[in-house]
Amino acid sequence: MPCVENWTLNPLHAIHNLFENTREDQDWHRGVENYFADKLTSNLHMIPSLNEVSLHDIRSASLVRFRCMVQDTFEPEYFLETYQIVNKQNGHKTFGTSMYSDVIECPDGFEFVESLENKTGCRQVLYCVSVPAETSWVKEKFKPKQSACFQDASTSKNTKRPFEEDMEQDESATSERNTTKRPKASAHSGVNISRTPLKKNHPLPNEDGPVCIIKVYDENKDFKVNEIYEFIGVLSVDPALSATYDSSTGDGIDEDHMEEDRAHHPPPSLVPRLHCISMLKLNHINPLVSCDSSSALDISNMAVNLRHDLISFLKHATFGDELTAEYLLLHLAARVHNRTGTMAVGKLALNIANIPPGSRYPNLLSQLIEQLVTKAYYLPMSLENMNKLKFIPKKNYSSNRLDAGLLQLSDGTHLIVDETALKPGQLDTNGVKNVQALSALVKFQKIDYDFQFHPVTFYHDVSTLVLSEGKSMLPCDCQVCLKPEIPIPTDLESYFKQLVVPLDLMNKFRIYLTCARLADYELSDSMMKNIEDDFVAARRVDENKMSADDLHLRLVLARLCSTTSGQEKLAFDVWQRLERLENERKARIK
Amino acid sequence: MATEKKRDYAAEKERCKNFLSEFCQDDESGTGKCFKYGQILTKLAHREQVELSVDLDDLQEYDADLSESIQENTLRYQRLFADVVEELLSDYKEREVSHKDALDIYIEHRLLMEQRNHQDPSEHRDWRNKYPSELMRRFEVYFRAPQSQKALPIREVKAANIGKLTVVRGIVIRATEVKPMMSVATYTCDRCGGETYQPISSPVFMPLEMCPSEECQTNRSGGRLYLQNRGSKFTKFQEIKIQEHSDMVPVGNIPRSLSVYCRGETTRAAFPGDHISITGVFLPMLKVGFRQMQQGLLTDSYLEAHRVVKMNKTEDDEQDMGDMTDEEIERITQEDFYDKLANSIAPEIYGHEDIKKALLLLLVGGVDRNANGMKIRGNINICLMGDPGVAKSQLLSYIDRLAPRSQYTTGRGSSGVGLTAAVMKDPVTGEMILEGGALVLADQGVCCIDEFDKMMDADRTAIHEVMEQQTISIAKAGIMTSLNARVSILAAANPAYGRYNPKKSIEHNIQLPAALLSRFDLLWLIQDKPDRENDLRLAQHITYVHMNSVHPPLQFEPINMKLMRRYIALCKKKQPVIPRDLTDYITAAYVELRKEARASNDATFTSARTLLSILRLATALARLRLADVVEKDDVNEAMRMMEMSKDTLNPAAENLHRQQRPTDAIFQIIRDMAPVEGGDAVSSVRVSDARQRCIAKGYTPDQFDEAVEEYEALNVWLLNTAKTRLTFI
Repeated sequence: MPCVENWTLNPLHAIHNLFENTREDQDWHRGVENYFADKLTSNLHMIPSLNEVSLHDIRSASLVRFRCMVQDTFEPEYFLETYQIVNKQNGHKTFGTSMYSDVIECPDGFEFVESLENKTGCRQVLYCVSVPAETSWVKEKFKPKQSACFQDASTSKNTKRPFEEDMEQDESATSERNTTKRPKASAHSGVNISRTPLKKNHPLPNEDGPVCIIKVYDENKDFKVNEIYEFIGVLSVDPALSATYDSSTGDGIDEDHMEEDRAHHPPPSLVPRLHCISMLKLNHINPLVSCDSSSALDISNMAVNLRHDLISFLKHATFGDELTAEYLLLHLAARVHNRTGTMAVGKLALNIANIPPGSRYPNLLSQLIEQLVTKAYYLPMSLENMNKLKFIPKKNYSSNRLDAGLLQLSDGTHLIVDETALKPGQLDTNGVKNVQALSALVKFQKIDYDFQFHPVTFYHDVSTLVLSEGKSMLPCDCQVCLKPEIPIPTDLESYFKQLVVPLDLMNKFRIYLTCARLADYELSDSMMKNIEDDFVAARRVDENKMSADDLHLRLVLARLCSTTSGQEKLAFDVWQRLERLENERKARIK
Repeated sequence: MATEKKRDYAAEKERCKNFLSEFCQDDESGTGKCFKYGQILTKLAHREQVELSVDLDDLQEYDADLSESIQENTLRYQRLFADVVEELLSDYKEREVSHKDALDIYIEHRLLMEQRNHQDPSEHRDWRNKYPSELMRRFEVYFRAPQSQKALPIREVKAANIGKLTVVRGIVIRATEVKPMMSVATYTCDRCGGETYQPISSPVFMPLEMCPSEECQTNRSGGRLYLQNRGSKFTKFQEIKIQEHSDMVPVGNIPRSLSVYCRGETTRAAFPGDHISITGVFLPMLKVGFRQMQQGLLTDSYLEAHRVVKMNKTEDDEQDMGDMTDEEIERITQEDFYDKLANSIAPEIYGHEDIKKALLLLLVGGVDRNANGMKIRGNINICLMGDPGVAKSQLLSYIDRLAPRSQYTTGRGSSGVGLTAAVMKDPVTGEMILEGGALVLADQGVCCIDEFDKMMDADRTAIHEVMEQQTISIAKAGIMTSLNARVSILAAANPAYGRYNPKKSIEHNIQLPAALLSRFDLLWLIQDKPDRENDLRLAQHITYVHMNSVHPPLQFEPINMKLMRRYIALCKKKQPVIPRDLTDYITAAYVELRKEARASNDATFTSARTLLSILRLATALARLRLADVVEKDDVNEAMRMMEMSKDTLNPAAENLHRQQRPTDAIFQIIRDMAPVEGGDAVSSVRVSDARQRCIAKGYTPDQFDEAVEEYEALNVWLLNTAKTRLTFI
């Protein structure tokens, strides 16, 4: 069936052809990757994304994309890379491959044989969830472009039409392939949902994005947990995959394995499989900024203006307090650059104190921040939340997977902690652990995941903003007291509603923040000398005035001040301005 | 092709046979040869041993080619070896075995019946033809990987390892009960009474139903088969799951795990929590039945265990590295090795040389004394105090990483249970079980406790015992026991009022009781004091870190952690003693210390514990030199460390005008009264003069008497019997 969308809708056909032609070659699947890489360079937008299109609108075994975070890595899977089937009538042998698919199609009259030529392969299995804390505008931005393309691809078809009808229509077409189709997916999946509630393992509560099991054929690629990828590959939702999940007894498998099997082979209607052909590691998910880091990062010429605009925008939110607005801006542009020893250099955990108690201000502020950044999560630090929620991911050995915790966030996520929600009361054991984990995250940007026998440290880069009445109980790098210039309006909600900027400018803010985060920076030797002398001098005057930590903080701030102004090098006037800022900040604390 | 293969293996079989019967080593005594496998075969024949472990190192020596093929295709050769042993066993049998169990008798009956049924001598039948060899087999063949084969981390076990002999290491996270697994199923037919055997190799099997015997087949009687449990053979089977060691997991990765199937003799070799090394064959197992196709010919993979060795974390490290070569020792023990080693501790933290030295000594530890049943600990306890943000926690976490065995907790985070031990009720069996806390888990290692001052009072009581007796006594829920907790405690504490107040005593500054503080051998106060040179270096360091994203290059090459660990392990093997001639020196020094402590208003305590501390530090220093005898320099250095640690606690002794005790002031007055022009001559003062002078200065007569008494006790002066004259000594 040679048609244009052949390789998107039926990639397995193309793969099979390639396999037939180059089977002798050890690395024949490289050929597959190259073939698709060629096609993909120009047609990426044609491929539907699991993030935007719901599963029942996509045909099984078609090519899809998925933008996601690696939540857990399962044990590698061993499968027969090449196998032989033999025709029962004439004994004619044919080869097949089970690469890029979960289910082998064994036509009637054929039989699988054990043969020396059968080759066992190994694929990595990743459990991926949609990017946690992805803000709504990011989702929106990805969507319109996508769905339009998807409609183009499926041309005349009514997208509203349910999947089953599609299938039936396609039946005639697919029968060419001389295969027996498995029973329909949708009819099957309906039963599953009602019977066993399945934990999708999203780190954040109330999140319900798509999840997917990704199978990667590159044995040597090293996947780390919490990295963000875009995978492109063959979707597999064959209902046969849920056989393990459905069978209540599990044939011959004892209780121990049941739970593990269920966790690892959930029904594909809920957790589809994706056989990865091509992947791309993302260091940001801003739809307005192109993915390859080389281009579009140059914001220097408009940075100064944008910085000014953004500060005046934030100033409204801080009731005219420019200092707080400035620190907030710096905070939004911070990230961990490197780690030396136990220290994470470059993070800026900000604590805005003096928040009007009992108001909706923290919530409203976080909504404002959500407008600006790609990933943000608002966490009211109430006793109930601290005691009830699970912060630390924990390895569950009976199901052999990592149960996600709230703090399992990808790098570059903004966590807004509302400490005003905390009331005096009793923290239970879980609560204490949660507070400790949060402190460790703020202080070292690392979390010890609970592997029961031993903790395993994972490094994170989650910018934390703590909103509190007094000094925060979390070890933040920097504390700013909010000092409203105008009286705080009684109706905060309507006040915040007025704070709108044109979409065009907002988009610029978004680009600006993402780029400022990724910008390069260096310190010149002469500047270093200056800084060192300043430090020594300051220490001589008053030993308490400046500690090593202060210097760390000031260097981080200096970096952020420069990058947010579009400068790659620290200039002396920035350093001096910073001194003023710091002095003002410290004066306020006293 | 098939025949070729067969012949090939027949030849291989011959080679195996030759190896087993011919391999010999020189006897340990050096006289004559010792047939290693011959002896084992004899034992097997007499059923004194079940396991035949073929050491591939031996095979390498004898037939390197064969050894290689075994590693490539282990399962096949395991079967070959088993066949060979079967054939050989009768030759090695020297006497009849009396040992009989149900299966023996069962087999015997079958053999007798066979003979009775087939009396015809011309019709020669081998019983082996009828009975599967597995049923009769009473031994197990295992391979032992050559020493040269490195243990793989679990994540390195890949498709390429399938079917090969592999060595992996890991921690056992789950072990099933040992269950009987059918290896040969025996059936009887309800029509003809004939018996059928079915060897089983997979965990699942399809029972036979129809009798295949000639009689039933020809008669078409449709005889049904019934499984005979007594006639079947079972082997022990256990499935364990191992997980990677945490130190083998690359940063940001989830530890991998692997299923291991243990059969027969390899079962019960490990329990959850054990660190083990397993030699085994990595095998795929195809899913059977209708799920095979559905799952895309997925296979489960597992490791068929051949050898399970338990190891603890430290041994494991050593095994990895072997003994240190002389060259390496040489490299460490250079001129300034003491400074160099100390500086290699947390090289990214600038300065604090003495503290690093103390930490080094803590890692090495002093010598344990166990004379006459009285135990004197050798472990050194250190407490770091200091202003917030002076890298205490970093030092702690570095030691935690460096020490081969360590636990890191915080005083606040660990409840009494978390620190000592808890009695828990097993949810499944309902049994009471003891679960060790951090201190127990760190036995023979270091326990780093951060925020020591914030610990709850109840927990501190447990610490008291640990720090001196090195045990934890439990009397909970009817379980009364004492657990070993031979740990060095490295504690970090923050001053009670934000910053250390030198005007107050330590107990006030760190709100800890004296009894607990005195159990620390060394107390360090780390203060953040301005000092131009240090400040500049600090500033340079920090700016460098920010600019270059790495730590500045150090003036010296720090010794890497692995080498440090090995060196420390080597040091720990030494048991230095204190020579007799040094004891006088030490006692004299101690007396001096006591005197000084009494004289000055010291913030610390000088007690018998101080003496022990000096001894511990001195032995640790001797160990560090890899010496067997403590030298005078060691003692001096130990004293210097004590001194330095004390100095940090009395920071501004000289420039701070300290409130003098009245007795000291009185002593001052009296000393000033003594005539000095006498030179070396003994000077004396009349008591009545002195008394008057002191009262004039505002002291009460009681205070005066007290001072006189106190200083007399210190041997500073003598009061004559008439109590009229004070003579200075």
